[in-house]
Amino acid sequence: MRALLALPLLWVASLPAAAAESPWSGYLDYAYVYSSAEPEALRARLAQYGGEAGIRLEDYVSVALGSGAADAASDPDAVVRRAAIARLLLYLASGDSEQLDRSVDAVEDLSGRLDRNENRYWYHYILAHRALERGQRFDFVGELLELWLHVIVPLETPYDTLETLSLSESPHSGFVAALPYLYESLARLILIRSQQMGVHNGLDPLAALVRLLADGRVGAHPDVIPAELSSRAYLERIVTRLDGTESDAGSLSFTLALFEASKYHDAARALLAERGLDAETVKALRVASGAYEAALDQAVTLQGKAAVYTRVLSQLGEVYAAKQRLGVDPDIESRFSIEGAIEVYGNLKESEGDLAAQGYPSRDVYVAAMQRLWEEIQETSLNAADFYLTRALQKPHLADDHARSAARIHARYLSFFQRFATGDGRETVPDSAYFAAYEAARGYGDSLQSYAGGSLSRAEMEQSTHRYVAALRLFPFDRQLWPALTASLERLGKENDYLDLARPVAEAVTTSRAVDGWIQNAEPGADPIAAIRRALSDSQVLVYLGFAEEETVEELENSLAELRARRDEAESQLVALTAKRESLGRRGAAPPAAPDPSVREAAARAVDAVEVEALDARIGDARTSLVRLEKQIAARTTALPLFKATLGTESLADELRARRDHPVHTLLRRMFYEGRP
Amino acid sequence: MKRIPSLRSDRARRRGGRPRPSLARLVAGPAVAVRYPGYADPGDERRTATFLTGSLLLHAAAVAALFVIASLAPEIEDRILHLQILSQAPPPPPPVVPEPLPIAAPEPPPPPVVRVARPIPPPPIAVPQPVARPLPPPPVVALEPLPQIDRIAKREAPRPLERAEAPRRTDPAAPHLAPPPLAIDRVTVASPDAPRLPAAHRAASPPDPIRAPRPVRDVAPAPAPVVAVPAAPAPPRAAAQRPSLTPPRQPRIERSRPSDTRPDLHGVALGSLAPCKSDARELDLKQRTVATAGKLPLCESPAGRFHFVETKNVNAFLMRIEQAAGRRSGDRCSELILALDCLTDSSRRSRR
Repeated sequence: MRALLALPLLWVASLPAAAAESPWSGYLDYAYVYSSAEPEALRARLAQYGGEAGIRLEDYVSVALGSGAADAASDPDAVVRRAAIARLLLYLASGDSEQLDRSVDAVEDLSGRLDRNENRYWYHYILAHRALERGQRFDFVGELLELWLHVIVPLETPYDTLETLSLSESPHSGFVAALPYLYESLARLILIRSQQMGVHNGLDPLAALVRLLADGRVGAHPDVIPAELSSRAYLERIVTRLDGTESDAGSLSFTLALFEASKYHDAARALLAERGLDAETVKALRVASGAYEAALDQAVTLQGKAAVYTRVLSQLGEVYAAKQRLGVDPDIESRFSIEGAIEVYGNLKESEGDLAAQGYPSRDVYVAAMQRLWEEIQETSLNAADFYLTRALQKPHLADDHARSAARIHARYLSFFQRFATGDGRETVPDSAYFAAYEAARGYGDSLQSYAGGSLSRAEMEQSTHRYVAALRLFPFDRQLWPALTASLERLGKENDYLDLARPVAEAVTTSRAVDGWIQNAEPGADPIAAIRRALSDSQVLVYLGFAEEETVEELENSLAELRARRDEAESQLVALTAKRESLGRRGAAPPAAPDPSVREAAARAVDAVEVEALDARIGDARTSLVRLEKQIAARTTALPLFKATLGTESLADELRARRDHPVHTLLRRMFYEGRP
Repeated sequence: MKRIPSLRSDRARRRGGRPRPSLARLVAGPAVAVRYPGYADPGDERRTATFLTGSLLLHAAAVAALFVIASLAPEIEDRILHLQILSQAPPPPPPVVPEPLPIAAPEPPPPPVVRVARPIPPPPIAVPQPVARPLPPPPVVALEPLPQIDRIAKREAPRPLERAEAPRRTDPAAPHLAPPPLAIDRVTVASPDAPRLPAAHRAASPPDPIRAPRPVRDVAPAPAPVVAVPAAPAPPRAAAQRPSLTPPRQPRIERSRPSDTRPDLHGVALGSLAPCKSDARELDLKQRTVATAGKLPLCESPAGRFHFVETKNVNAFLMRIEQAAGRRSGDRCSELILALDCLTDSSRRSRR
């Protein structure tokens, strides 16, 4: 029993001895290397060192770095500094704010001895952590600026000198050799730790430090910190965003907020790909939407708002596509909408005269941002409309509502397109916008004609017909759109108007210099475009395009032989009739108005004249029939192959739908403006 | 008592030093002139006569000028109004009523002569020739016509795939004592295959658990943990204080796999991987993948299986990867490149 009691006493008595010879002092002196690690990694690191030293850090700091330890030490600064570092490490590993307070208490004892770089570094570093813990953003910024001016800057020149002389790893280089680690820790503190601690505002003054860190400092010493372990890539992404389209006039706070939001978006996107729209995914989507809202609140300029909308529209599009794909419709509320994005686009367009005030450093950046926002608006609109059309099919009793919802979305995009693509400053409209307008115009017609059931008003039917024609003007290479137009006209009882509507569209294609140049230069997609152009140049093929179905081509080809047989038959009949007519001789004079009944010869001649007249009529009918048959045969032998050549050109639309940067988008843009006053 | 200088004294002081002409000197002028040789004083009488003559001539000329001016002045014609003073006639005898005398009306002033410049008649208007009227514009159905065509910037061809940038070494000659690490996210541990470093360097090697920032992880199985080796050493201070590097090895984590996947594959969503270095690069690769994949739901290659969950457009693009065992998980760009390679090979095979 006594032995058991003695064991704890012996352990307690052995602590000071272990502390006195502990390697913890060395570990703490090198703490700038690993102090910016994530809590989990830091805990593992401290546990490993505790095992090696035979004493845990908590015990070591209590026993060896107590209040009286500094008085007895030959270098009291080092003891105080180690105590402060140890408490900081315990705080970072555990999140215990009491340890941070004790670290601050310890490091404030060094406030009178800040002439030493190492003391000053830890002094500001620890106070910066306390500012983060308390949410004091101004103090945080101030501490880091002090750290930069009074620690980093004075160390840079000596470090360069030592590095030039290959002496940066010299044992006597002291704290100067720590400079690459200081860069790294500082970058992580600004970019990562501040966001983890919820300090999202007021970081803009640190943007200059971030740029300096990215300018040949962080990651510039791979022999000290390998590139894989450096935060250089992260830093470069942040700086790229600061200067790029997704910035808010260079605001660091906004850039970090948007970056954090995009992380949540990525997490939600991953869940969406793996699990579909289950409860966890919906929760992640809400979190991401909230993060985007926080970023939007941070945005001061229209540039920032456009950047947030560009990102968040992608999330909206993903959700609509997932709903369509999975056949579910969970409630995911969001503050963001396509209308909001269109409003931001319009505001930016109105502010085009003063781009610098909106945050854009150059017009190129502005144009790129606007085009990107437009592309997200158009694709999100199309995805949303597709979802509603799918719902219309799935729920026939609600088909009317869903189809009209889809039509409204298409109409909204068309209105957006007409507002900005037909005015001045079209350079902010991307090339793919014209094909998207075609899809919206056709989608509007399809929504009402094919999905809304039979409750269409005449005005709606006429409107959908107009949309079909507009779609053909925008993209006349969709072979399937022509019969859609005739079907729409048929519902209106205006089939005869087909050629009046179709001919101008066909002439626009056949006389287009842009199309001709495209085909002559054998640009991408030239073959299907040439096939359609050849078809549109023949009015008979135009009729085929409108009224013939793909399935009837074979039937039409088969009927050609039958037509030829009928022509042969008509020819032989005509020959026979003509011969008979010849056998009757030359037709005499007209019979008298009142034949003399006494003259037989005259009466006989009158009977022959009637027969000749009947024969002449039959010959005329046979000739007419023969001409008609010849026409039919000629039409089918010339026009049918042209029509047949248009089959299989549907893949062009699929390619354009999948690629925003397809070259044919450029052709569509040129065609849209071609020949217009 | 302090003396206040007066304005006069100031003026006098300001005047001091500047030479000013004296009246006495002017009066004495002729006397001075007499001193010159050859000069004779004309005398006072002659000067007086000259003065009088000159005055007369001057006045005469002035009077003559006045006459000349007066002769040139236009004559002013007085307009005389002839007024007739009416006198009341004596009262007539009562039976005869005298006729009232007519009142002479005043003569109206002559009408002013106004010269009005006549406008020059315009040249006769040529009869316009009939011109061909422009054809009416085609019926606008949904979109308004536009006046011109925008100049379209030619799109650049997609650039070749970038390789990861090699970090710049500050000193190429500096010895690289530690082998490069294999992963970022793990606690740095010594590689068993790595040669044991010399004691000084080994002790000086700083522990480097610094984690590179990663996106938020999802619940999908992550790639197997890999062992990282320590980073390059930091300058040693004292041999006794150097930390030794024997952190615990990370255990290999067993992960659940979807039932429809091969046992040698583990799945991960593209969104859970580290982002590309450049957002534009990632967008470009996604665009190419969407275009290449089309409606293909799956592509399989030695690198693993690539599930194209959603390929409607870039806006809604979703992808999932089942990586082959033994392959390191790259960032999104590297996985997208692998997917594109897989799709390209697949399309080549199908063509054959």
